[in-house]
Amino acid sequence: MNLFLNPTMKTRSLGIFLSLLLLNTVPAADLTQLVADAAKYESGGPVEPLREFERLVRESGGNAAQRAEVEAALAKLLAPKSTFEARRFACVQLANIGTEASLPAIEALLKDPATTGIACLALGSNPSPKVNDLLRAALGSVSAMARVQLLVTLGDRADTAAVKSLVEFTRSADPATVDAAIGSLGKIASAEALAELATLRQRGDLEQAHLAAKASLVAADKVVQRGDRAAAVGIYEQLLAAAQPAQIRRAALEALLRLDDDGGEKRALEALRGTNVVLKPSAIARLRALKAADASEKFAKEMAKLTSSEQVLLLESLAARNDAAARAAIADKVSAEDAAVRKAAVVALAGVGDAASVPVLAKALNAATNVDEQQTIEMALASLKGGDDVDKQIAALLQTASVPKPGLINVLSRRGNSVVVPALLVEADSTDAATAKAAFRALAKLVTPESLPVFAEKLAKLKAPEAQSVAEAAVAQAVAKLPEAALRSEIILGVLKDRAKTVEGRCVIIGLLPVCGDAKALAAVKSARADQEPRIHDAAVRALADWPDASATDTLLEVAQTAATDTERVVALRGCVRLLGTPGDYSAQEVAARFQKAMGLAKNTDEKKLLLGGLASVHDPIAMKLVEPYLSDATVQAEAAQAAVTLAPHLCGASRDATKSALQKVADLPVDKRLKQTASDLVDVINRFADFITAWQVTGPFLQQGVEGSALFHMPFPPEQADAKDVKWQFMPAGTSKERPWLLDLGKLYGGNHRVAYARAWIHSESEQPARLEVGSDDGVEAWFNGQVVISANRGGDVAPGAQKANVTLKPGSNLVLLKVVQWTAGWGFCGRVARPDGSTLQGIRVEANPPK
Amino acid sequence: MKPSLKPSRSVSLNRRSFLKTALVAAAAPLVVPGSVLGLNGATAPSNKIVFGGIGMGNRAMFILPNFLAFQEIHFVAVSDAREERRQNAKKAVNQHYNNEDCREYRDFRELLAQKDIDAVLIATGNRWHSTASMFASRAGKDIYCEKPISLTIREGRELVNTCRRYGTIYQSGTQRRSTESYSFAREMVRQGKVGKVHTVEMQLWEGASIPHQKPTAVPPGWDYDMWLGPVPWRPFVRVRVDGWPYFWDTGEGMHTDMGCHYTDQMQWVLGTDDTGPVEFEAADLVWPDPKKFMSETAISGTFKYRFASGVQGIINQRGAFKDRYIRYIGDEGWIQVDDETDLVTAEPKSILQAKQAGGVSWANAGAHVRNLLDSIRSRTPTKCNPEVAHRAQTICEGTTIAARLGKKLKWDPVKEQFDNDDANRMLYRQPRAPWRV
Repeated sequence: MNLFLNPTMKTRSLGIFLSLLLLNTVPAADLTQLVADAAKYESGGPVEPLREFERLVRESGGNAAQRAEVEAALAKLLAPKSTFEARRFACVQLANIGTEASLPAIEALLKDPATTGIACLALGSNPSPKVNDLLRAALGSVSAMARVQLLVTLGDRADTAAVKSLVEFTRSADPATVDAAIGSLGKIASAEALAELATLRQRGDLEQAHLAAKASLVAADKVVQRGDRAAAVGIYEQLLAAAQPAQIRRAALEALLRLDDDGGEKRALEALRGTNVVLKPSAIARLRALKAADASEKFAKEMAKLTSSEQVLLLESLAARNDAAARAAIADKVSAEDAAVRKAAVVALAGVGDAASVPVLAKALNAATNVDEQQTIEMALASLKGGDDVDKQIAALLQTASVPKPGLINVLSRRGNSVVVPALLVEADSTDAATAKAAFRALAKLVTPESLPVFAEKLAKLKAPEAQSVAEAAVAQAVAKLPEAALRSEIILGVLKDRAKTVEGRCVIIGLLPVCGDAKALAAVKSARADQEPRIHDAAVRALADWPDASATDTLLEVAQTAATDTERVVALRGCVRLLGTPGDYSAQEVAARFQKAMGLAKNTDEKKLLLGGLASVHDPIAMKLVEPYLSDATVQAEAAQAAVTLAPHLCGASRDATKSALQKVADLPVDKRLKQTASDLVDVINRFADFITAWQVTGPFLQQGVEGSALFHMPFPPEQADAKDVKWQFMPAGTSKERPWLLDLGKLYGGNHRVAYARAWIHSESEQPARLEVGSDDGVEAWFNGQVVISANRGGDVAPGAQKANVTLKPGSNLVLLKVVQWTAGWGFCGRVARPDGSTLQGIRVEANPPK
Repeated sequence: MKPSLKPSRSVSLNRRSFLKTALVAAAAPLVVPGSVLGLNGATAPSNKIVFGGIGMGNRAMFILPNFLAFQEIHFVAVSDAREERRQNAKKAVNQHYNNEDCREYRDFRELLAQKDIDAVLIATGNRWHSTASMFASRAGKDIYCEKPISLTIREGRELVNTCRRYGTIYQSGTQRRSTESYSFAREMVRQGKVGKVHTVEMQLWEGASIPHQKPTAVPPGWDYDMWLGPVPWRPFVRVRVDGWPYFWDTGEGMHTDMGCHYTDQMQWVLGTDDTGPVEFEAADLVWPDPKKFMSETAISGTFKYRFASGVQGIINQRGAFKDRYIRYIGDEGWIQVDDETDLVTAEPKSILQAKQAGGVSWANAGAHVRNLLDSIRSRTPTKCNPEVAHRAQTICEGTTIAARLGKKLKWDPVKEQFDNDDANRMLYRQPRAPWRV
């Protein structure tokens, strides 16, 4: 029987083979060969024998006979003729399965300093009591280095019979031996070991005493586990003595605090009253865990005797308790002399305070000596629990406190309770710009729909001119929060009609109409444009330029056409460019047509440049047609070239020839060298497209939460349905990689994992003829040719041109190719071509990304 | 190359070396250490917390700026078994302080003997984490240690005991507990926004495979014996040293190395920080082809846990690095944190209305370090204290052992014992002396 693994390494695929193997013991000849093979193992060599041993170890669990055979084979692997690495491997395995049976073989390794470590590894968790006998017996016959390993292992095995030997080795001249011996005494923690550790702690050798103290901490833990609390307390109290190092004392104190019947209250208070700065923080931290109801009061009484840094810690512990006495002690320290203590008290009060804390914090706010302190108190006020009562108290401070109002208004804003809106509306009328700004910002967050008209009126009647822009933005923000455009319009048009009486006020309210954004608001703006008052007319034009969707575009074009001033025309044209660049109901052709009209209205170079910049975002071949003439206009040549190069990656697939022509012109122009180079590079890429289809429209991504790519392959999405509506197709940007010019990168376009995109193109043929559709994809792909599935490959991996092929028949006229490209993870893309049946280039066909008209 | 059992100098440092290090400390630049002023307890907020770094490789250098950014931290010393890493770290620290004061040590025990040092950043390879932490704790130092806390369950428990024994403040480098996105997800789950959670699904990336390579001489400037530490000696093989995460005794694979970040999150969100699952299982494991590779740990697989409450945890080790996430699935919806982008997604989407914009991602450990500093000052537990870190790592260890044995295992989280003798034998590995738990 061949024992060796199938290298495919899929665990589950081996199940049947392994089950058969385990029905019987392993043939002796096979194991002998396995040992012989494994015995030669050195790094860099074949590991199959080791993996096979691991499998046998794994699969022999529960089968005593086979496990014994495997153990015996591993024991043979420990023979001196095996390499060190083979023996190391055997010890690693025996650490997990070794029994008394393998002890003789391991014993031999104990005596060689080079193998003592791996021998102890094998023995460490071996359950046989004879292991300890072996380890003890070897102590006298090994080098000092090896002995340390034995001593540590005996300690880990808690071998009480080793204590006598360990005690002897504490007298060794070798520091590592002493350290290991003392450490192991701590782990064993028998009465004899404890006595020796006590002796060592008092013997006068500082190094040994320190080691013994550390070992005693380990031992005391074990004593506690055994239930001998009194003995443990005795050890810890010795370790708490002043002569011990700081970390030992702290460890002892914390252990005692945990063991004390009163939870450590008395001992912690003693430490607090003492002089040791290392112990006090542990004592203070203990307060958090004390159950006694009066603990906070008792500890708080010690506050005055502590240093400021200790007071800070005590305040934090009191805050963690959060009982009445704790809150009182914290409140008392809000007016402490020391700044750090004051701050800690304020921060603590932020967590535990309530309405009763407002006067305390208000007093502190009045007394604050610097901005940092003031801000800390304001943050505390903002954090106080207690609902409306707290908010109203803080709002009342606006009238009484001597501190600057903006800070208090910010507190109310952070607290976020609309109950204070009336108080804030009063402050919005302030002539102090900082106060008015703060009030408007807070109201933007807190104002309710009911009080929005009053809020907008405050803007129309603003008394602090320096707050104008902040106030406008705040009211606009508040208006925008209303979800329904009709309600927004109703409120703001109502303010315009009834509350904005001055020209300035009306102008400001007209400026809010773009935020309303519906047809009524637009009508109001158009009406205002006709106003005889020039300031209102200007405000209306600016409102149109700020309009949120393309519905204002044609009006803006009209403004540009009839503008009385250059400024008005520029404002209108800018508005047009912005709106045509936003997604809207216009098709790319309609957008381009409006750009064409705007171009005709541009009266100077700056305006043309503005429009060329806007055209660069219109991803339709018409845009390139509009840009191309300007490549010959020296005054805007650079901008036109930039627009052409920006458009090119998006259009070179769908409009290969026109794009190439424009780029070639750019490459010959006296414009920026980098731009020329980019144009040349793109031409180079286009030349490499060869007969790969680059004119695609794509749509996506389609996904379903929790469904992986391989499953999405089988799920139909709308583009697969003939009558699908609301599927938005866009031109696929062509590849721009010189190495893989045919690659269409969906990952770059859409991104993400576990999703689907569709691509379509129309192949125009003059006659019926046989052809071959070749597709490459990352990951899965399904292809329809004239509605029939011709390729279906649910697979993962990179794009390889022609990986999937299907013979098709081109009919005269248009032939639709539809691809479904499924993304699993990592890369996502595709490529495709229509060739002759033998794969050579098919001449005379034309590819269009647009549907046939 | 001959195997070596050479102990890495004396464990306790003898009198001469102790005096030597004490003198170095005495000659060191005057930064009043917290311990002098009562740190290890009672530092005034204005006082410095003096740090040293142990293991100054890539991770340490990535996280070091998060420490140096704190005015209250003074970094005074670095230690590494590799000369170029020591020098690199020393240079970075000196550049930060614009001086030449940073001390360097090949043997971290010398660094731990420095009395002016209050705390240490431990960013060694995983094989060292628990041992170095225990040595630091015994030396009275507080600790920020990179994850995972240990490579065996018993070592982890021993570290918990050691830190408790010495009152050591320990922060595990599972810093996602201190980031906005994960905190938000936790809060939403705890508020019941996804209903009753029944599944926690996690994903991390596929592990690497390390090709065969023969041993070579140890490069100049390396203390390879110290690099190995508690691991059984074996010859120096460059790809094995660089690929340490993919060998059982140095790393235990990506599922253990990285998985503990996610099990830590799962424990935090489920409120099981002081306990853990009751069942472990591993499936669909793909191992390195032994014909080509010497590495030992799984390339991919599925690791499953079941809690007594019935909640299932699943880590999928698959896909690319950027594909990692954690998702809490309840009977009324789900919420997911994308670890690469920090993006939180949820269903129903209304859950996300409460999400504040901004916040730092896992890459910035500043808030996690801040939490450590506050705990050092107040002697209170950190967010990722030893018990928390040990319980999170126990889950990874439990499934690792299930994978190695090819068995579903039952686990008693109170006794910390499996229902299987073979598995219990794998709870601990006897370390190479002089290193010990």
